[in-house]
Amino acid sequence: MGATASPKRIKSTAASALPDEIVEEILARLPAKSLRRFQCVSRSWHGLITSPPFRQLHSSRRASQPRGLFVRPAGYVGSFHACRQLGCPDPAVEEILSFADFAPGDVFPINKSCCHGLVLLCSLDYSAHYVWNPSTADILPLPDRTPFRTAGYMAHPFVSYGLGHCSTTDQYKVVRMYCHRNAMFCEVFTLDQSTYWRPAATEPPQCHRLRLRISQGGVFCNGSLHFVAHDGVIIAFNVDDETFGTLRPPAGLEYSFFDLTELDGCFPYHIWLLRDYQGCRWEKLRCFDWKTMTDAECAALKSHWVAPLAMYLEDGSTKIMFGTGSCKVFVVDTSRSNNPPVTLFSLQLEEDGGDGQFATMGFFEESLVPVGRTVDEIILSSPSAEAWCQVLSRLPARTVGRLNQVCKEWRAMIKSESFVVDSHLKYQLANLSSKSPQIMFTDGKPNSFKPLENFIIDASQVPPLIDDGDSCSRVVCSKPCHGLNAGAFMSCDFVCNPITGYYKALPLDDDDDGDPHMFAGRLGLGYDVETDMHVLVRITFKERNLTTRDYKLECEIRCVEETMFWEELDPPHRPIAADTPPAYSSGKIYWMADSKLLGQRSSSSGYEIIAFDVATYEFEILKGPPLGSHGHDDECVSIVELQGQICVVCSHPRLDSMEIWAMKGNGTDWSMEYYIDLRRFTPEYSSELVTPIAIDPRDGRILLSTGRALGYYDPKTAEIQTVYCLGKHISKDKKFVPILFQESLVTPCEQVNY
Amino acid sequence: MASEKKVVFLRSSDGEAFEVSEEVISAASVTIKGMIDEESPSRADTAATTTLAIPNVTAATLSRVLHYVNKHFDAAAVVGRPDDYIFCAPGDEHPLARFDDDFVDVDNDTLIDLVHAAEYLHIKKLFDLTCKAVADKLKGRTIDQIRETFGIVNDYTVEEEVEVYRENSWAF
Repeated sequence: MGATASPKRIKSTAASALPDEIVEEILARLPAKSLRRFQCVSRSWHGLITSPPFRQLHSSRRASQPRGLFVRPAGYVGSFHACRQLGCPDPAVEEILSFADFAPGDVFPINKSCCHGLVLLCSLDYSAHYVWNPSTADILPLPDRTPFRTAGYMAHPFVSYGLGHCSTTDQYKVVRMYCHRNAMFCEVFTLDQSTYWRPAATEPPQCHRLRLRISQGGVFCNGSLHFVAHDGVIIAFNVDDETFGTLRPPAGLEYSFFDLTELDGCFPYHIWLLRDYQGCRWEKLRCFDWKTMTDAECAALKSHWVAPLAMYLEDGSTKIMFGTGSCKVFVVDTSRSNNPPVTLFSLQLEEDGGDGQFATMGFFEESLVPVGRTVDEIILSSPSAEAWCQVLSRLPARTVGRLNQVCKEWRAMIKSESFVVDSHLKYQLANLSSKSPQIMFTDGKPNSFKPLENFIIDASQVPPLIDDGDSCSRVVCSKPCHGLNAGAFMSCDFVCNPITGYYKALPLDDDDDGDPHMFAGRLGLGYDVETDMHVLVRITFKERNLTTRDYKLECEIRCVEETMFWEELDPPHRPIAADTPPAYSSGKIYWMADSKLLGQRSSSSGYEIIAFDVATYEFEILKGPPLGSHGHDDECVSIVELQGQICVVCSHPRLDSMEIWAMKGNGTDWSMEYYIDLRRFTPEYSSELVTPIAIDPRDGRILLSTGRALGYYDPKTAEIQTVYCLGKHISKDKKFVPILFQESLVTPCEQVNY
Repeated sequence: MASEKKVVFLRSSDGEAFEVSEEVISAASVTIKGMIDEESPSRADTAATTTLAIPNVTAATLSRVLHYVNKHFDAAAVVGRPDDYIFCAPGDEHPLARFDDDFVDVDNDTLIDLVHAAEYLHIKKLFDLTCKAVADKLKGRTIDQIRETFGIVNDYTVEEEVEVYRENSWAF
């Protein structure tokens, strides 16, 4: 032990030879990002760098340094970049926050000037908000995208956010204001402390309705966050004592459209500057006028978004720096008239975002201010919450859903990702072996998922049914995969959680040149443990001719969580079987290859299986089980996952029997696990109708469904025990679709539509 | 190796010491096994018995925990029954089922204390047992009863309560 540790000790002795104050002074001159790394040097350095006094020292030493500009091109995929040498002829630009770290879609800052180094980011498409420190790259997603009081009324109400600093407690507070049923609400979330949004200490004034705009946050200045009301009055929310005050806007601007921003600690209204906060004295500054510019100047700078970024004194005149939606920065000299704007900076990237209507940039300073722990971390740091997480994990999802009502802390805990996935789902999946399969019926539409028990208890109730012969009403639904199910209709796929009612429709593209028939093999669902994401694979036939055996496949892939688009993928080298849905087991989705389309080409090698690895996005072809020994070409094969094993089911209508083969050793071997003779159970359970759904882990019985009856087949006694069947009075063309589900609270973050 | 059994003393947060067989407690508690392993090099040459401080657990709770541990992990007490008795054939009640039922038939505060102690001491079987017992107490109770049972303050306003109900209407 001693031998390996000694070199480190010598080094640390050398460094500690310097007096602490000097080490501090040296470190205080380093950029925040380097200091984040140096926290790992030693326990004492970690303590020093994270201490509030050092944070102060660092910010005072760095105050003389020019501020950096962060900028993100408009558009759906863009990373944040930083430029620290604004004004240089060829400034260096580096990426500081990858688009992978926040939700896709439009993401923009809602405070252009950061609050002690912290920036509030807004994701328009997911109505998510983040607190971000551009100098350290720390980013914190804020919880509860939609205030719960508006849930059910308005899916996505307009909410204005703001970020302020409370000087008495040295805490950072995110404030949000919204209107619900004709009342204004103000909620506060304290960084590193809150696990849920709490009401502000005092209620907002109800006489002034705010102009709620997602893109325009509250402006922090003089200890208060400022929001604009419809009548032009500025509502000031004091972040320290959480009281409200008002400011009058410049005369004549009351009902016109204006933006608030903060420059040099004062407000300009493009040209109105609030000189005296107490006396509410505004000063009008001369600014630029589009009309006086040449066409070329206009064309270069005109943008959907233009906003002042900073004001500074240079050569005795006041200059204002503006940013544009096309990622340009220009400067206007306010002391002279007819002064053309000077372009100072223009972001040049390979992918050009074009012009945006939201803020693309802002200034940031080197700052060690932490964004604070995530809600999950705060919750789990309390021993009692951790114990409660474990207790609640042992309850069914529906019971846990009810417990949201106990208190706000429980709701925050139950909604946290660490509870839903790492605690509840993990426990439920680990204990599947002690429970019989759980079944619901569905016709594939939202809110049509009904537990089997309902219909056993009350035989007069009829489950959701589909028309057997009608391909329009046909629906297939996958087995649950890490808490979610996926399914397919005629022209629409879906992902759902049958318990919580989460249902996301994924319509097919409209181009009609493809195969119009819904087919069961179309959609596969898997789960990538590395990225914690559900993966959807959609395979469609653009061409499919059984006579000529010509076919053309198209394949696309997407994640369920926080992705907006399908991505094209090279299709597998075999046609997939249309009539059997794929199966998923431990990281791979399996389809049967279509032997009819392959025809003679495959007869020598027998059946083939197509496997897709959800982590590597690669297809491979595996050999199927050695079927066909009976010499009948009417056999019907399908693929299914039973107890974690990939199985191929082969029905022989002539023998009225069914074989179940299980894949062994990653697809190298097959063994016949079950041979089910169905002659005694015909016609109710004839081999043409029966599909195995699941195996009861407690007694090994196989759950069979015919679409009209559900029964357990016991391999030991060769008997079938029917658990449910449709009554004789229900039309022969009607069928039910049984699906398996898991006790899951998983509800992926959904995109919003305003 | 000495023929007589080694013992350790566990000192509760309120200062009471409890004697327990080192072998038994090591088998039961991952936390205490770690403490003993850490102590052992210095202990090898001295005959003194170790006393381990358990600062998070009170005497009342610790004595209950040790009662459980001695019943479940002392090989002498479960004579003739291999440790994997939980893998009895389905339907068979395992020999300690009755003991376990009685063990968790206590008031809520005691039960919650046991959850904490089991978690801190890393006794998986006891943790599962107590968590399950608390979970069972939550089943079939109204929200008001749950708040009352576990001393939780309702911090929702009447309006908010209605709104949370609507938000989670799928569960009702």
